[in-house]
Amino acid sequence: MSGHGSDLHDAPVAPQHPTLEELTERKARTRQRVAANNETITVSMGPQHPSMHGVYQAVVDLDGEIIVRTRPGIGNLHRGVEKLAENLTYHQVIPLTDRLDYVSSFAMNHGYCEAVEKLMGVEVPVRARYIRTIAHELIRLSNHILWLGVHIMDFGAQTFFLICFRDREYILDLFEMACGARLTHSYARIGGVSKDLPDGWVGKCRAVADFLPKRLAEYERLITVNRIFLKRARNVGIFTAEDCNQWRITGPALRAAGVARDLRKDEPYAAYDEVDFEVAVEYDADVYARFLVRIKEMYESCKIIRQCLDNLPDGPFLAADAAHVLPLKKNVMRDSAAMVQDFVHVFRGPQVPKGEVYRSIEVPKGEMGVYIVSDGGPKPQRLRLSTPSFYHGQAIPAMFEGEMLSDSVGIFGSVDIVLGDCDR
Amino acid sequence: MTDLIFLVVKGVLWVVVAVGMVPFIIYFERKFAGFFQSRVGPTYAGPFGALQSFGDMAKLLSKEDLIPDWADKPVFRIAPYILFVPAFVTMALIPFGPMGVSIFGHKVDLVIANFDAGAIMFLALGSIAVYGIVFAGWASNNHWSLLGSLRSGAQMVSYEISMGLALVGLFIMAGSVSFVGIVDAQAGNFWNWNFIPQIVGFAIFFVASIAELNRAPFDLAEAEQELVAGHMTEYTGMRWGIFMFGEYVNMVVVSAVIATLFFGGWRPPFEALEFIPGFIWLVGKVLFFVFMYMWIRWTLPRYRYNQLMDIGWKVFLPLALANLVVTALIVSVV
Amino acid sequence: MGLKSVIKKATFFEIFQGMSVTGGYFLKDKVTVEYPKEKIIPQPRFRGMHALLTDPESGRLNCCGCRLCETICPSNCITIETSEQSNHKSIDVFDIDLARCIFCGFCEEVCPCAAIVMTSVYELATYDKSDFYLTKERLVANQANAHKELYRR
Repeated sequence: MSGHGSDLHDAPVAPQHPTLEELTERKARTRQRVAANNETITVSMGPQHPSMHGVYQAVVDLDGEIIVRTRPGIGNLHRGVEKLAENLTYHQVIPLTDRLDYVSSFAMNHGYCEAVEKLMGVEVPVRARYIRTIAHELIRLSNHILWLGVHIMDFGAQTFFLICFRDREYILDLFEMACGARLTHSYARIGGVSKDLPDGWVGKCRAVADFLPKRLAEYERLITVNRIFLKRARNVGIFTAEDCNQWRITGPALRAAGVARDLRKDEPYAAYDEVDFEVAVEYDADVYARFLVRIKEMYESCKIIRQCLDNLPDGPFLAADAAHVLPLKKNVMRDSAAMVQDFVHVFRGPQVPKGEVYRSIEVPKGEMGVYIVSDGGPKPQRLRLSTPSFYHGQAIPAMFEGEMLSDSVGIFGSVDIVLGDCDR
Repeated sequence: MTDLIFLVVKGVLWVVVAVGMVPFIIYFERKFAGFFQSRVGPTYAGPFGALQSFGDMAKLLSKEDLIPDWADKPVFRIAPYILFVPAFVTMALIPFGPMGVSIFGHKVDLVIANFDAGAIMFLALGSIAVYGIVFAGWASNNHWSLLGSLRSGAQMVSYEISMGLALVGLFIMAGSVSFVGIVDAQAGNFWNWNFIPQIVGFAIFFVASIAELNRAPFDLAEAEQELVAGHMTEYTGMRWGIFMFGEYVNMVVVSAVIATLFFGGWRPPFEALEFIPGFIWLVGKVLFFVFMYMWIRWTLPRYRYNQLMDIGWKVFLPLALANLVVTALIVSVV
Repeated sequence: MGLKSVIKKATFFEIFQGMSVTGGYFLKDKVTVEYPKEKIIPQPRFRGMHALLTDPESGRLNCCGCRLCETICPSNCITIETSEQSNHKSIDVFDIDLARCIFCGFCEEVCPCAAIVMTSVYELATYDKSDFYLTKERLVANQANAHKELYRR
């Protein structure tokens, strides 16, 4: 944990990392609280509830304070994104992906575009790859800062929520400068990004990337070693690597269980193979470990952004592939070939080979996979989005078993579910 | 006869001050909540938003007064008042100036009731306030209200024990149980005040009082995320307003008690500043502690209920007892 | 558990540390922008309400009636009707249904004539739902808010 500029980690850490057996045993002790043949009362937490992140319904059977069984209810935010995509061309699907995980919408755009580019065989130019990396890390920061605020607010410290939103404004302002929107970016395009970075953006982004680690250090002073938070977050909601494996949990929750799986390192895309960063791993697999993993990821994101800004190459921000990529606006107004390309892509769509593709990337919440089946036409025949919150929402009953009701809110928050991502 | 007149004047003055302070303390709570969160608080109602509480009161008065059908109506109605009337009684015990001051030629004791066992009375009244919460939860005929109120009541009772024991060391040192006597024992400058020798007692009393007032980090019974609003769930409009009012009056009064017991009450920090009336010093100290309560509330997350009870019984109670034993030893030896 | 951590625990050290952070925020500048009195000016590329640009000299709409915007719109919120005149296409109807619009900016991106642009107008709340149906006249009138320097040919 060194190198953050804060030496506050006097938090008691076991000298050796807990093994899988130890963690399984701790989890079993929690599960033992659920005695057989107990009388339970049923409480429906949600779908609208002051704490549940989004319209997730958890119908819990309670034995006193202990949760015996949970029946999740999802689908309240289902908008049929995958079906809608079958009637839209590949370009038009991009704003739909914005609204999946609306907290980190560029990441969704990016994931979708990576899959489509793999299907079409489009090569993204270097500058565009760097811009995508910077934007993705910015949105990772935005997502984690928002998650942090909401999570700590679930534990009662409302101040944190507001100061996190204050700090998120800097990132949203950067996105507004680049693409025109603060939340639903639609910044990625097939073959690159929609607009080049405006003048002064690099300077402002660098200022943000230099300033945010100091803010993170302040957050750490405020909460990381706070005894109340430690009491509420340690040994709560243990979800071992084996559990994660069984329930398809990816992302920070998996890394908090000791598994160093990060698609940015394992299957690099965009410019991630050209930057140097560490994968944040913790071994305690509890709420506190997931918190620490995300804090470390935020520091690493700032590092990645700084490296990308230092090495940002010049060049085109969109591939010059007439069959697959939209033309540059300035060419459309001057060059008749570009105008024809514009008309073809709008009225018909890109040329897509027949076949299917699966591509997954590491979005802030976990691993997002996009599976596209193409029949050769300009609209996808089937678009399947394998979003992390869906699987995490599925695992909530397993995480809640044996835990106390007061802890359930914290555990739910630590897993970081957004219903747009879960329900699509 | 003049004694009676002065008594009435003192009583009315104190009530007016306490009741008049509460809307502004609520306003300050919201304003300071904003400041701690890097934002401005209310700014719209009146200059700097100072009339916000009055706007809120007007809003609450205009709301429908719902009493649930199956609720225990008389108990439901009386519960909010049981919460804050004890606070007013405690106020009568707190001295706001030296005894025997002469005003217009008459000797006046600047305290409404110079009760010999003032601090014990305060602890007893605090216990009565618990009834208000328990009655509210019971009378609401709502499962969750009842649970919330019982939790809240249990929490308050557990921390009252530590509060009381933390004070015994103080009583031994000061040799008196009345507020007037304890303030007199702190004569001198601020290093004569009781918080220095009784620092452990002060810490226990302060933290236990946060639990007593149901404020963060000990406010699980009212936490939105858990049980909607606990014992106050079924209360609408101005009845809920009375609960809120009662909580803030309790906060003001407990701050006054802390100021009196540990920080010299109406005495100034330096003897040279005695020309400023004691009342001003007392109000200043009360506002300081109210600010500390707010600062703590807006910084810390909250404890889970069983952790809260654990701390009350397993940490504070032994500490208070240890404080008592050590103080008794030192006083008897020295 | 060393002596240092025992002392830190007993004296509530990290709680005071946390309180110093919020105390700092208490004294520093507040970030609130008091909305009706102060307004944030969005960035030039902000995707707000649409505008139809006209040629400054002739006063004719830049729009050539190609219907690229109507077709690319993922929500089908643009309605265009044109009729042939002697030497140009006249745009009879150009309506945008803001209640359907998702403000993605695709219409602006594909337009070959720099006709439809998105301005920085974000104050769209209204009591009357018909205000959400932008007719050609309202779109043309909104060009006063457009950042025309972004759209020079």
